Amino acid sequence: MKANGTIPADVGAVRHDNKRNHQLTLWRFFGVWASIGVQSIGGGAATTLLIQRSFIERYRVVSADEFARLWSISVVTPGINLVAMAVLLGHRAHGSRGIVAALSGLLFPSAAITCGMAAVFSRLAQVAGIQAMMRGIVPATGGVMLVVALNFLWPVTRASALISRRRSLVSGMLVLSGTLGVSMAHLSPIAVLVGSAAVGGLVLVTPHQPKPQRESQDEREPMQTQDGGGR
Amino acid sequence: MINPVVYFLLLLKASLFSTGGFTNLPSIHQDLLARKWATEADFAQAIAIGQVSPGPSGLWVVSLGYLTDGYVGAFLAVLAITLPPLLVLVAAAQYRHLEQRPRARAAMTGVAHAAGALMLSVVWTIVNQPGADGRGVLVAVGAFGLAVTRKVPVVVILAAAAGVGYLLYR
Repeated sequence: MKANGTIPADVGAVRHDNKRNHQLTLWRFFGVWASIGVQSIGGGAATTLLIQRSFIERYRVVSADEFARLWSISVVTPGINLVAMAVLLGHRAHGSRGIVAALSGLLFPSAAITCGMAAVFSRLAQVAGIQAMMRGIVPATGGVMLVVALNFLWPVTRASALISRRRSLVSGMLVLSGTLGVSMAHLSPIAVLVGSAAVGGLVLVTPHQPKPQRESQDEREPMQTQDGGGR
Repeated sequence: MINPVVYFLLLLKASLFSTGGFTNLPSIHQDLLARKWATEADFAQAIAIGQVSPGPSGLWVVSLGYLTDGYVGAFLAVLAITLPPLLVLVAAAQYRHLEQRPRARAAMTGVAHAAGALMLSVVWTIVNQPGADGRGVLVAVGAFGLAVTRKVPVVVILAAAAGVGYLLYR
């Protein structure tokens, strides 16, 4: 599988050195995304957790820290972050066909179900039992989202902790201030992203960065090696 | 009468100038209400459906499309939310060059922290919704406990939460 000429090899290349990834044929890849799409009731939290479980843990398309890296690119891209993530993971696994497989698997079954629900939900929305169930589902999505957030932050903050106590402190402050800024001060998410990029660019510059997870060391390609050593 | 081309362009514009599933809401709300192509009730219903339907949270736009313009509207909505994220390929292509520069790499590390913080703020928003109470917090803690084990499918967790909600709030 070759990468698109304009896209870095690390974004599009299939990882033949990975024992699980080669089992992920295009059809199975589509099936995994379709399964994620129809299972992920509860919005982005459930979807993200299923994506993490499928492509980090089960099929090992990406490592945890690389997932965080791709997510960072996704959040500065217009539109739904999870759709952008599907594009990146699709391209990584199967090139342009993988993008089509990922997007159609993620969006079309779930969009069809959404349409069907739109047709009937207006009649059910006022039913007391349905409202009661919603009051259980909504906080549960919060709990699931917390797992997603911790999965996401773990490699990022651990990498900082391995470098220095000062960097670890900056890392914690960035997370805390970003969370409070949006939750309490109602800052725009874009402002938080831009502000964190600025602080990161000023404070987090280091010539060497550690490899936060052993499994990710095995999977890294030269471009992703932070010390420039081209492992 | 809804003009499908204009309708699509409005949804596309909102998606292009947003990031995440709900940040396109203000733009779509303003544009469709001004043209009387949607009502406040359509928005409320679409968001509610988006919360219980499968898929990313941004699919609320698909239900809005269906409610306002039937299957054509739903199809145009899917198209409008699919196209802008393809720009991520351009961003990824530039990322390789940027990552060679320590300062740009550090800036992306800062963005990664912010992305995690945004997720935490979503958690905060969810557990502090109007009408939320201590029982809801317990449900959230229980869902967290099940999800963190990695042994329970998410759909099972949410189905269980629906059952608990029915018992607690009906």
